[in-house]
Amino acid sequence: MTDGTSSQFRIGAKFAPSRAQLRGALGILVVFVAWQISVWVIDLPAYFYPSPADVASAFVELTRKGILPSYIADSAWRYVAGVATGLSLGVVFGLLIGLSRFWSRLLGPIINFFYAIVEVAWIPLLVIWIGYGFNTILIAISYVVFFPVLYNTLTGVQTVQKVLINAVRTLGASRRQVLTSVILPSALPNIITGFRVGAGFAFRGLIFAEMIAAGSGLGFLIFEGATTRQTDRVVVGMIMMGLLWLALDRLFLRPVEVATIERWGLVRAKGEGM
Amino acid sequence: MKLSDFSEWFVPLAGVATIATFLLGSLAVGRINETRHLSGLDLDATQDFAVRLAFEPERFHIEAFQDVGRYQGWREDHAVIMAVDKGALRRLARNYWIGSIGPLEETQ
Repeated sequence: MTDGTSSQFRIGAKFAPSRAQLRGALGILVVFVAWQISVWVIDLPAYFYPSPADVASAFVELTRKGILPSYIADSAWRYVAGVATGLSLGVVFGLLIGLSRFWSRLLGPIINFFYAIVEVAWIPLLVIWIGYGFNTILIAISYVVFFPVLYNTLTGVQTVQKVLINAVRTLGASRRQVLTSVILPSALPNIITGFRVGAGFAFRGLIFAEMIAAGSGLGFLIFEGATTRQTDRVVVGMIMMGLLWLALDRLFLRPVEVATIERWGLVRAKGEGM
Repeated sequence: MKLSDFSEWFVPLAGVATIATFLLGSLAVGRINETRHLSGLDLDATQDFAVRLAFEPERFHIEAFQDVGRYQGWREDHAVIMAVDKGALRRLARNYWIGSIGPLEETQ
């Protein structure tokens, strides 16, 4: 009974907002109040500088008309598909280049060359080749995720301690066993770091790609809002982007980081002193 | 290994469960809307339909209408769509922003 009560309290304590979270919420509230006051003071047309009330009204209207939920779903699906594709390709190519001198010499310069070409430069060409829509955006996002994952996987593979590989080899391990039992687990922290970095870049890439090559999604909402002078919709799109990123970071990326690389002691947890 | 070793995974799993619940809920609501909007309609009897909305359609809605059939324009409170594809009309009927769907003759 006592145990149950105490664990109940522990669970309650885990989900109660911390002081830092309350401060964060207060900060957001202060920004909104300051924004509303500035609208009253500056007194500019709503299309030029919309108030929080205008933005809230645009949010309600976009939701009532079914536009916002549909655009969020489109953006989320493109993001997930793009990140998954970029992650898979990055890991495969990272392993290939890291494990084989032949592939490293063959692909190294080409990959270095393409690393310098940002995805933004590719989008107009992709639009001509593939057209507007999902495939172009998928390629653009995968491209953004690919390089951080590839380079981190490569670093992970190249920094595996030779002594570990030799140890399992002396025990009779095959090449495949060396890969699955030593190289991949050793490279995993780096792969996760690459994924974390790539996931952040991909979000920016998604919005930009949607601005150019899509007829739906949050990027398109912002772009269309700007071209039709519906700045309240632009701000709704921006706020939704921020909220989605916060949710993605807090619900998935940060916990994965805590459960893996922080737990393994590869990065210092928040609050740990120098 | 104890269960507490996996406590870090609680938040991501709860996130996945929330998203899955939301998606399943959306599918269920979509089916309910489809039944509600198409009940009493004989989809084989006519190919021309009027789709009522509580607001003027925007580009997003017009594109949705164009996916269903030949969109003929907006008349007062309804969109005229001719030669509709039945499957596409069912998909359109799942949307919560649709007011009602009826045969074109009744609304003229």
